[in-house]
Amino acid sequence: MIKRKLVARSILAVVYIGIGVLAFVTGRSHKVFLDNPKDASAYVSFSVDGQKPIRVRPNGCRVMEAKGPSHHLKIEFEDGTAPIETHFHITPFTDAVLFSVAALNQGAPPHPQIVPGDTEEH
Amino acid sequence: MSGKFNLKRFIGDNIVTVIFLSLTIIAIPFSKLSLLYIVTNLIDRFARSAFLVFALILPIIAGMGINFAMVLGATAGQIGLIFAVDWNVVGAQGLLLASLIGLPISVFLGWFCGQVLNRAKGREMVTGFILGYFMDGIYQFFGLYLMGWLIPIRTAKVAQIDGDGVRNTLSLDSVRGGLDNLVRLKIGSVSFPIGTFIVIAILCLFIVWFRKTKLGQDMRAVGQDQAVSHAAGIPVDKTRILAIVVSTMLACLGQIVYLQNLGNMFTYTSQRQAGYFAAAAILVGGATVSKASIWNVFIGVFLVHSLYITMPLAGKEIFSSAMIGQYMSDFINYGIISMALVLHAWRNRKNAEAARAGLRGGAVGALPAAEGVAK
Amino acid sequence: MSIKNMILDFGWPRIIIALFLVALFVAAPFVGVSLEASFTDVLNRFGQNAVMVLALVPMVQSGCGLNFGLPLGILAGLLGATLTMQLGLSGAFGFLVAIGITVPFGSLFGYGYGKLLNKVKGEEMTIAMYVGFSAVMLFSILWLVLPYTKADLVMGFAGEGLRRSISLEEYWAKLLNDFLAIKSGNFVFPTGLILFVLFCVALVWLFLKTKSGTAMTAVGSNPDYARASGVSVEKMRTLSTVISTILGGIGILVYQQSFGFVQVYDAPLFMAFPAVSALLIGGASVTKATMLNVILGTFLFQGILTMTPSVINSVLKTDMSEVIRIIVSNGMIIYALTRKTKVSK
Repeated sequence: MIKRKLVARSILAVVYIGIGVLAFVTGRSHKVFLDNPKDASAYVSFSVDGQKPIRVRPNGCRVMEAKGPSHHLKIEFEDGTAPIETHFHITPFTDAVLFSVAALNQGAPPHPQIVPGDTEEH
Repeated sequence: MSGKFNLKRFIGDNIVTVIFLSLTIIAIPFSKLSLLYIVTNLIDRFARSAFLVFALILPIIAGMGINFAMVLGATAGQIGLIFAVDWNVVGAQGLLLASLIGLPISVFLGWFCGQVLNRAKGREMVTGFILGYFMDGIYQFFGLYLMGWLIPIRTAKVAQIDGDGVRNTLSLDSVRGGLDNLVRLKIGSVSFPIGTFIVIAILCLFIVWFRKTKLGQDMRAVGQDQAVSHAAGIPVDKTRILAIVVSTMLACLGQIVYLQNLGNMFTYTSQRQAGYFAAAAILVGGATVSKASIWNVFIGVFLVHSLYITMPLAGKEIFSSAMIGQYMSDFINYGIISMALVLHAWRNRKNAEAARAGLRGGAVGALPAAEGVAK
Repeated sequence: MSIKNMILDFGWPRIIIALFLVALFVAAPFVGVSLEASFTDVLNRFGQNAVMVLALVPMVQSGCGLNFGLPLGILAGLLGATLTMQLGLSGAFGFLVAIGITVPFGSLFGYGYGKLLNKVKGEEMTIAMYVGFSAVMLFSILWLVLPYTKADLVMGFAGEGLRRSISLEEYWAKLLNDFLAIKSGNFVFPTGLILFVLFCVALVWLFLKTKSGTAMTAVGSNPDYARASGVSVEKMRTLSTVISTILGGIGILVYQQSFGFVQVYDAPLFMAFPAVSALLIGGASVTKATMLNVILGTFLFQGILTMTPSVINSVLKTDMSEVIRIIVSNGMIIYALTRKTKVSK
């Protein structure tokens, strides 16, 4: 009898923690930085998960918040270059990630770099 | 139990509510606020405050008076929110996480509080009040010294300027409206936070169900007469502790609901407001120190908030001083609680004396039995 | 009585507090805190607060419990002080007039308070607390509305109400402290203050030995016996609230002259709590309090309040004094409230 109670309580505890982990992972909000290089010829605008796009000037860096683990990124160039679209994941313990337009133009695969979360916009 | 509706008796039994209602009705025209403004404000305030007031019902039923130590539950909720904001978990998930963190802390604090109150039988209210202050000290120790030093703070915005400890004012923007905005209904220019209403409705159902369970009935028995309950085999002490634990847990959730609406938290003082307000609300709603129902909560919250909305402005109009209006609100707030407490104690005493006189066959001038020393 | 019994009776928390204070004093010189200045501070604060702690004794003895309604007495004292200042009286004469005005108001408030408490039995302390709160708020309105006109008392122009904090410099600040003060280097012994405090303590002690005083104590420890002996329980309880309230008023006057300022509006709201803690730390219980409890308790409590910030801050470079104060003073009250009283229900 005691064993049954113990098992039931353990299951409840696991479920409880599980919900907590789920809330943590899906609720965690991350910063997504986009860096437009100094020698860029035009403005760039980007949008994560369909939010209102933000324009980034040359030599600029702007940030957008993204909630949860998986995201969709769309970058549009105002000088006519083909837009870039990609999916990416962010692990729960990461605070922020950075996409660099320069790297993307050079053909680097669209993976974000991990950066410290308290980086200021400049 | 039908009989002629005796207006005099009704007013006598509910005098606190009647006085409060009268004051509010008088204040409304003086405040020069539109009815629409008042109503909109009321809905918002009700949504955020009601939950906390419900937390007081169980200890009253269990005969422990106003559980001023619900502040402990509010503190637990705030601790949960600190972590949710610090870890940048936003929206509804953030509130869920805050609750999941706060509830176990509430259980522990409620258990501790119950233990203390069981050792102070007959003085539960004042002990609970002081216990709330005591916890403030421990919480400040946690927030100012443990956080930052032992438990790392991840987000710079959360920490004090010098990096140690949690800020005095914490912006809850990340979780603001997490519950309110889950489901919203707009009628005309008024927006209703249906999500919160649903949660409150679930809470009401829970309380109604709980009172029917064996545990709920036990609590009621303990509240009416400890000796008889003990003789009937009810674990009196344990039941009282459970009442406090549930109350503390509800206070934890209630504080989270409250703060997600406000969007801003005064880290070291928000929790105290919870206790003062809830006590006033439930007493104004007609509850006494030994009897409380869901109706009391609804009526009380609406009335107290109505007064808070109208009185400061009414005072400003009548006396041309906002400060007088504010002090008047505070005076009425404290005064009402005093009056409710006094009336209840006075009535109790009259009933007890009448009962004793009855037992003695109506002997006049019979000595009241020794009631021990001051409580 | 064996040592063990004495310790149990005195209570471990009090012993811990006393040892803690001694440790602070011992540590002080090592961390650069001046012992002379510290002793001066502690003595000043002792004298400042002792009379308010003393004010609690009559009600404890008469069975009314811990007087959380002390703010009522404080308000009487504030009336005395502000009215005297409004009349422009200063110095020793002013101080005496202030006391003179405080006593009748204190009696009035105390009388009403006593009548109220007699109608309620059970949770008197919570009611006292809230009655005190209500009164402070009511008076806050009065401070704004009463026709004070003196320039240094009011905010802005006359008719706008009293200032929050009124300086006593021109009136009777430090009157008692400096009277016959003994100076030795950095150490100043506030003779006048201590003498006044001892005088009040002696008065109360003598009173408790009179017929009324013993009747009061009897009412608190054994109401049935008292009643059977022909003592009116209600009258004694009311007498105790009156005395408590008057002493509370005098207490705040003493406090103010030492502190240098008269503080109105919210200030009295929570002043009962430190006094209650101090009395309990000194060994009193909810039903019994002696002069020794008052003196010892005030000294210990104020000692901790004074020494903790200076010593611990020098060591940890951080100000934990507030947190320690909250935990110690409230913890002490809880300890006292949860002890089984000798006369139980």
